[in-house]
Amino acid sequence: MTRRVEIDRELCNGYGNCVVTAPDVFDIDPDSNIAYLVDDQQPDEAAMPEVREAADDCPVRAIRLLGSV
Amino acid sequence: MGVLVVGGSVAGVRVATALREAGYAGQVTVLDREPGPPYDKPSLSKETLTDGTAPPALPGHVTLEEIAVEHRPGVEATSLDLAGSTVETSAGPVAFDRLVVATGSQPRGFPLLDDLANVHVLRTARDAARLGNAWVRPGSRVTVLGGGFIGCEVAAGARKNGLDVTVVEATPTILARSLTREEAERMTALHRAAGVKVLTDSPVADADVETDPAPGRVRALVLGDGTRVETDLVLVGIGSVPVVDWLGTSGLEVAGGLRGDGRLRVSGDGRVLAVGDVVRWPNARYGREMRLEHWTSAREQAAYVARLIVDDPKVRDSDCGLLPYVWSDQHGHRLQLVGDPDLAGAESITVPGVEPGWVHLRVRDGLVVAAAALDAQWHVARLRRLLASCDARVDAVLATLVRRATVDP
Repeated sequence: MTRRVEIDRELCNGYGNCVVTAPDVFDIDPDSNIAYLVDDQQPDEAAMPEVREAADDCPVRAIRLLGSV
Repeated sequence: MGVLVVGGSVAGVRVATALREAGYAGQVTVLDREPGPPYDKPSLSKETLTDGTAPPALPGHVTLEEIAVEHRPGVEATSLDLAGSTVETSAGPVAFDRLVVATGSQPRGFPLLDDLANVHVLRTARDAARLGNAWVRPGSRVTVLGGGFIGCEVAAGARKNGLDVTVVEATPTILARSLTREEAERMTALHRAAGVKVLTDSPVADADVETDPAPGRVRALVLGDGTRVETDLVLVGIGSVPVVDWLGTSGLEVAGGLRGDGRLRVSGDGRVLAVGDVVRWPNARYGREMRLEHWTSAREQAAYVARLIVDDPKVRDSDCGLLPYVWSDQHGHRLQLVGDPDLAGAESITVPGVEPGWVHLRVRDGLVVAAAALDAQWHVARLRRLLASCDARVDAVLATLVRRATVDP
């Protein structure tokens, strides 16, 4: 189970693939071009397949899935 | 037996992970002609080249080992025996039930410059290391032959590293395949502002080559008008060709890319499929054949094919239709293109409020069919979603993209 999703703001380079793959979970700040979690909310379990896909879709692997077993 | 994937770059590796995600429990083997663990290529013309950063590992949040996929590095496919369901390789024959061809593409050569010591291409990590090692000498004069995506990124990287850079482009503009004339001129201005010399309308007529010692070095490129471009190093970036030589005796149609049907099947019985740069297929979104060389398309094709292999009802009756999308990083700017790559007959509409970047919508019959953007990541993320299912009406697109400027403080 993934417990927590984190975006590495240093690595994130504004590719926006996560916003396309999981639009309810991720968005991109129009000024900094850095991705963030929508409403600062951790995704619920139902969104996890999309979140995992988004993590793979990130060219710089800035999305971390923590607590996976 | 099981599924055999030939090619261990983003397309091939994504087939393997998508098969497991789709519940495929059989054997999955990935043959990879490159040495070492699989890695991702976009950074090779960017941070890997300029900073020496290692390219990210593939596939991502899991390893192939963890999902019981056998990765065989250093194994090159040499021929395909369709009737015998066997791929001949540098390490002996490998049998398959289903075969996915993901052999990608390789740089097109420039015959005048073939096999010279200071001439480079950029495709693999090995190419990037060779190029990076060669240009660390201070004051090196780098000549980039070809003003496409790779050439423009390498030129930007070379400037970042303080080198003297000239881009030599045969046609009237750089990035001519993807951008309008006006957009290309803006990109040219960015390069020139960063200190890159950009020579357009400049076909190379000859090369001044020092042949001794072997294998020889190019001293200068000689342009059509007689201009000599003195150089220490040349990067040839004039496009790429699909890797299909090994399929020459297979009976499959390989001219201009391995030809697939609407479901990316390349053999009549559907046992062989193809994904990534290598495949030319009728993109269901446009009803015409395309060969896309984009990272995103490779991943999308791979996911589609994996679902087809497990007979997922979601794709069983639908052809593979993709929205082309590509990005490029040059001089700290992000160029993004989404949608129909054919610019013919499209009107350009500028989205207001994006400055200092820009977003140009390409519009036909009131529908947005594509867009080009510089430094407008927020807008492009929305455009990709708006255009993903169908072309969107221009007023609806503008309402979504311009809303921020009027609503946000």
